[in-house]
Amino acid sequence: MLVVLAGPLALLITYAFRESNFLGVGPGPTLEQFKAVFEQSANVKIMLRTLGIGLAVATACTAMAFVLAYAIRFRLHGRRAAIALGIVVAAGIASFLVRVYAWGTILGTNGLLNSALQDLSLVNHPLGFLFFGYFSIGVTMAYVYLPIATLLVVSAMQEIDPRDVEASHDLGAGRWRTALRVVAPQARGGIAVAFAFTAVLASSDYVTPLLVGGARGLMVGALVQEDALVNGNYPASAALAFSFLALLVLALATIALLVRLCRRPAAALARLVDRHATRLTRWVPDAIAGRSLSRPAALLLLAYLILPTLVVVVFSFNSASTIGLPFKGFTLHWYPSITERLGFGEALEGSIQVALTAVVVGVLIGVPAAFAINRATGRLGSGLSALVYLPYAIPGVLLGIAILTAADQLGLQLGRGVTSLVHVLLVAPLVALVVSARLTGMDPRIFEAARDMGASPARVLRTVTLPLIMPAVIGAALIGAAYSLDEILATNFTIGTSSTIPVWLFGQARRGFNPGINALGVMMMAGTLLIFLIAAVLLRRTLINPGREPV
Amino acid sequence: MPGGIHATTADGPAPIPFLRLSGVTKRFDETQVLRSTDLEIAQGEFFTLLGPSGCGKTTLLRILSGFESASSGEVRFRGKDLGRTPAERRPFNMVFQSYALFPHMSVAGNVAYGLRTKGAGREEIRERVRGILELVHLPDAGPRPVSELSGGQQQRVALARALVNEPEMLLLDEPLGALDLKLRKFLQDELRSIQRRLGTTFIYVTHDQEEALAMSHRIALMNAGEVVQVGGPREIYEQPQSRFVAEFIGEANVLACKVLAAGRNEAEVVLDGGGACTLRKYGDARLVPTDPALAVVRPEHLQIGGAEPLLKGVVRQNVFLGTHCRYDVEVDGQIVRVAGSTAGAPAEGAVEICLVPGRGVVVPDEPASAVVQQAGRQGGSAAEDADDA
Ligand SMILES: Nc1ncnc2c1ncn2[C@@H]1O[C@H](COP(=O)(O)OP(=O)(O)OP(=O)(O)O)[C@@H](O)[C@H]1O
Ligand SMILES: [Mg+2]
Repeated sequence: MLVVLAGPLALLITYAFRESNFLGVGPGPTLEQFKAVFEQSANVKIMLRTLGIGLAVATACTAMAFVLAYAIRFRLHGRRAAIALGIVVAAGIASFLVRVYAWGTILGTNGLLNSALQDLSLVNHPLGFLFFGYFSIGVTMAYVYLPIATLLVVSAMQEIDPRDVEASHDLGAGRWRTALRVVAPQARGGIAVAFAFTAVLASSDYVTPLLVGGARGLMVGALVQEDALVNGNYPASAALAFSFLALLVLALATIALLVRLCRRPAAALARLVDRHATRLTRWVPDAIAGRSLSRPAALLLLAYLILPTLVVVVFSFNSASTIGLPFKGFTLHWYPSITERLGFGEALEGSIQVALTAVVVGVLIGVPAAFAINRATGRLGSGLSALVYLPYAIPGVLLGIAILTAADQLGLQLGRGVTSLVHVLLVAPLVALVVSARLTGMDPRIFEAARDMGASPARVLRTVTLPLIMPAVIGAALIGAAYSLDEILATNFTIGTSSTIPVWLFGQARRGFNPGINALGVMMMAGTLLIFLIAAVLLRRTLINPGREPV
Repeated sequence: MPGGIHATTADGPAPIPFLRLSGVTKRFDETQVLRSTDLEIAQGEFFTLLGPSGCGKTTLLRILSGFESASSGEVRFRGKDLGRTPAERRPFNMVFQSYALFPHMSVAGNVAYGLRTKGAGREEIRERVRGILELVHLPDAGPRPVSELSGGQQQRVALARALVNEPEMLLLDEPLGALDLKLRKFLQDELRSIQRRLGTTFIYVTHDQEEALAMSHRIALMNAGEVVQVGGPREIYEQPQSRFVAEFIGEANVLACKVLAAGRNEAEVVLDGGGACTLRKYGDARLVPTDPALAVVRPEHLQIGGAEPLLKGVVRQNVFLGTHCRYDVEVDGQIVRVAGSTAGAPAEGAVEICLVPGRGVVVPDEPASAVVQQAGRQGGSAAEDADDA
């Protein structure tokens, strides 16, 4: 079982290494490609800019995520907290591509904002310089990666006892002080992970720069993608990707080091500020001091998460063929029209085939892997779980080119098959994680009880284990399917001349605005959300699952 | 304890014991969880493993049920070595501390599980499930999902699920541990009467000494992976062989003393700061004159005033306990507890304490090193590594 899980992963790792051999194209490994990367000053400049954007997005995302998570965990209660969390999850699930595209329609040269400004005669030519470029990339990425960052921070805050927070208030600490001195240190791990995660995701993203970056918004991911897919120069793209990855790791390590070095001075500074803050805020009236700032801030952030996608939904019903106000009239015309476009059918077929394969194979690998993880103890167990997270820690671009070059070297035909393999790598760990969480939540004595009553191991599996994990398996499979149907970052590299819905939509979106894209986007979002909703219901019922069995 | 129970081991030429553990040990990596354990259990017995938390009770039970294998030694059931028999092939059933009911099945589904596994017919299953649910006072619970039941009801379902298979032996791991006091007392009585009615051999794990005394035919008291004494409740209570046993079961005054003379079943001692008396001595306790030892005397074995005063002290407290009262008497800075009658005026001030003749036990000063284990009624004792073959 272990081999089944580790096999593809190990393969992937060796592929990733094989690439650097492959750089030489000739017999021996060479540094030629790396030299080429660093000799071009444009490359270096773009790498640094990408890094800058990645870190800026990570900073913004983490800060916003902290506020939102803090509000959800400690300031909102009951239903409200659940709704807020639901919005965050939904925003994180709803199609990545469509959410990026939403910003394209807002910020684009002929986008909503520009056309509105022009209509209002505030400007008389499109403000492209403001809207297409690093600024728009940053805004879009912060939006796209906020949900995942928030979820990471929320889960870190889950372990903080709300009574700590209350105790802090009780001791006279203000809200800010509580948030920064009680909550933040305890959620440190989650905050660091959220920062690193968003930094990696944002700086390796090429879809966002290509959709909202315009000509000026070049980033490394887009260069890698162009080298590999347009020029077919795998060595160059691999060298570039690895150079950048090294730079990114270096930057993150430096930040970690700096944070560690600054911890003591920062604590001293915090104490100093604290002391004076108490003296200063004594003059602030109670009514104002008692106000929660995190709640209105959280509301704003939730609006930030919802509104852009609403633009897509609204304009999918607009009868005008350009985006912009005023709303011309209601129509359902765009929904059928997009499906009649060239290539849609093939892409749909591709998506379904890839998702089905990925889910079936992913379940077949993931479920046994979950048992292995669950049974392994100590260091082996934690090593195994770390292995499971690996595919998610590798940026999609890297996964894409790794598989691309590997397939090239093995002489595999790119297309649905290779893409399915990539998706299996993403779905199987997901299934393993969910199912092993389910197994961990179960009393191991239940299985012993079954054996105690004479059931053979096979019978225990059939009558007890499988029925108990089935909802978790189905839930995980559905989430995997939703993930697979929406995956683009790696798929774009491995799909070859074939296509899937996101890849096709990406192509359409790059060609310019088309209301049909909105319609398809709405369908994709609705689809992923629906699948996810079913999965959520199933997974919740696994926790309290009475089940009836008449005798 | 009914006399018939040990008939099988007491007479007959070479009776095969119902269950016999010889030299069973268990180690997990570096920790020795069970030291060499020898036990013999008779058919129909309510046998309790009693001891403080972490002493290895569950481990011993899991070795019997087959979920854990012994590191050395053997378990023989009706003479057959169980070493290679997997849990599902052993004719025992277990009631788990956490109940371990199947959450995806109804009460009836849970109870029927073992019967289904054995391939019983539909009619038979229905009948037996109904019968056993009546026995545990849950006649109408069959179709209900187990998650809807209260703790006490779940406990009874777990019991029914095990009993319905008519096991040769039922293993119960602190089955009442999670319940509140009232329910626990009620279910203790119920378990006891079910066991007496069905005659199934029960091996019952608990760390509650009152529970053990109230329910068992015999008790094996364990400490730190060792069985320190085996005997009937009365025997364990009245004839503790070590300080640990005396203090774990019931209330005991442990008084330092010196041995004056030691006989086979008795020893004459002089209490430190008190008078001389004759105390009983059990097992192969090694007591040599002039050695320090410990006198173990229950509060009800002492009285205020009497012919031969043993200790002198001052009453510090008089606690009313309904049926009797308890005096806390300070003797040389140590509190000695003495049971008293509630009739008449309570004693006050300086008093003299006397021993009820024939009561009180003397045990060695260092009980931890002298591990004495008496296998049931046979009177035989085995040192730590004695071979019981
Ligand atoms: N699987 C295991 N691995 C390592 N040590 C174990 C394992 N199971 C039990 N132990 C250790 O063996 C000792 C005895 O455990 P056991 O569960 O038998 O105690 P117990 O008498 O049932 O205690 P309690 O009354 O708390 O249930 C404990 O110190 C425990 O830590
Ligand atoms: Mg136990």
